[in-house]
Amino acid sequence: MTEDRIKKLLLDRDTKALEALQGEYSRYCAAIAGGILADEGDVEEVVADVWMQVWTSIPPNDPEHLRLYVGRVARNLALNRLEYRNAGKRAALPLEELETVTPDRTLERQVIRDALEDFLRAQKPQHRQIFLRRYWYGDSIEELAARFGCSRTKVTGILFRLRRRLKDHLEKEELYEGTK
Amino acid sequence: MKERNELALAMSDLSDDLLLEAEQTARTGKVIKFRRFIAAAAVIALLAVTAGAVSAGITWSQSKKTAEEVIQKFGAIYEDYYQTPDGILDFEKLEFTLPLEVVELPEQNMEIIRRLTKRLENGERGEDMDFYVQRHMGHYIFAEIPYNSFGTLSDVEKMLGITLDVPDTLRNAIQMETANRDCMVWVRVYAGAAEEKGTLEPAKVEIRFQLTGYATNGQATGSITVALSEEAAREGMLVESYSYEKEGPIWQEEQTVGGYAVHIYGNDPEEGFDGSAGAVYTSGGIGYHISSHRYADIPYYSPNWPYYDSAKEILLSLMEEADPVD
Repeated sequence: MTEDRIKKLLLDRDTKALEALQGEYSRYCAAIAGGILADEGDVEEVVADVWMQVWTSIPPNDPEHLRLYVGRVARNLALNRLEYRNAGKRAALPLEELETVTPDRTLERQVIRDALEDFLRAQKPQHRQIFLRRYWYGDSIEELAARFGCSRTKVTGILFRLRRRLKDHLEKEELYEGTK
Repeated sequence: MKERNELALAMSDLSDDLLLEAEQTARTGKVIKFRRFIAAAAVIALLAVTAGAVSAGITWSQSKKTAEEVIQKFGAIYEDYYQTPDGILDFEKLEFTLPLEVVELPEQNMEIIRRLTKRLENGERGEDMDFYVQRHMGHYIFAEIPYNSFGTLSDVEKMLGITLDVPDTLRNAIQMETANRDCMVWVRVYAGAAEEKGTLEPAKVEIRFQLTGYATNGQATGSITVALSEEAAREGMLVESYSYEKEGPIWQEEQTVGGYAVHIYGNDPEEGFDGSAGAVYTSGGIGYHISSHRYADIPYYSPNWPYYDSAKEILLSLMEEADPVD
């Protein structure tokens, strides 16, 4: 079913939208949540919550790209779930990797987002895509290597260097933890 | 409560065009000029069989033909490191035919390789486990398990089923560094010949650790290599100290450090090299080669590694407090 069709069902408050959302986006949401949550049970629960969240938020929201909207919902739900886990629970590997780069926690989320976007737009397209596929979509290193036609070693090296450069970028903008 | 990951949260708000670009990246199907190893054990067997025909001093070209046959039969991934003009190492795949060197692998090294390949054949994987043939400064890496697959040196030893005689102070420093998320550790099993010399080199296991501050150029900041013998370890030392100029170490000296008779060498950052230093010693009949690197033009930062002006000082200070085994 197309995005536009699913969106119409949502806007018309047709409950078929829920089934359509699950059919279209279950794996997608599971991959995104799986890049944040290490526990499979948590991933399943988050994905189950996505459909209700989307149902209750569209309308009034009317996103241009439904898939991205659903993905964002999945991400935010997964991050919220992680935040409230007991201490000692590990995040999934992609999120753990990202935790090596820590912006100043007192900053507004939008400020960090703008800095991150500036950074990403300055990177080579392939590097930018590898970064996003890993840390937004939760792709494994193996999936990234297959997708971009390179070795896993190369992918890991690219990610490592991107995280370092991002840290340098945030420090330069005085947005890094401890630089203010 | 776990602290919020502000960066991850901010990522949720990224603009649609960035995400759409990433979504539209299809699997490229890019032609990659390599073939993957399929049956490593069979390769080892082939090496063992052909080892009988190997005599000391086999030349590069002599091994090439046999290696080509092996590669055609089993496939191999080729990669080579090279340095781009801006100093950033990149991994490029080159189409070339290299000999899968035919060496008579000593039993203890063969055992390490068998153990490693067994794990791979059993489907065990670190997230980033590769198994391929790779050329690196004239040495051939038979297998590599890269980045963050292990937490500490002890994890590496446990995985390989070996115990390395590493000075406690160095071991502790590595333990601390590998506990740092910014440190990468990877293991390479070598079976190779040095192109420059055209001679054979016994297989060895190299454990490399890369510390914070060096990631910008992808260089390992140190390594511990377990070789067949002191001679093999020294050979590794000579290749290691080639740096990018391939001129060998600037200084070398023999010392007794912490009860170990070591041969240490290094390059001097003031001379434009990387300030690396290494030490070669034997213990229990096995040669060890420890190296450490410091790049003069890259600021060194690590909360756990002592800050010295030269890698030589690092090694000497770490080894001085160790107790020898033999």
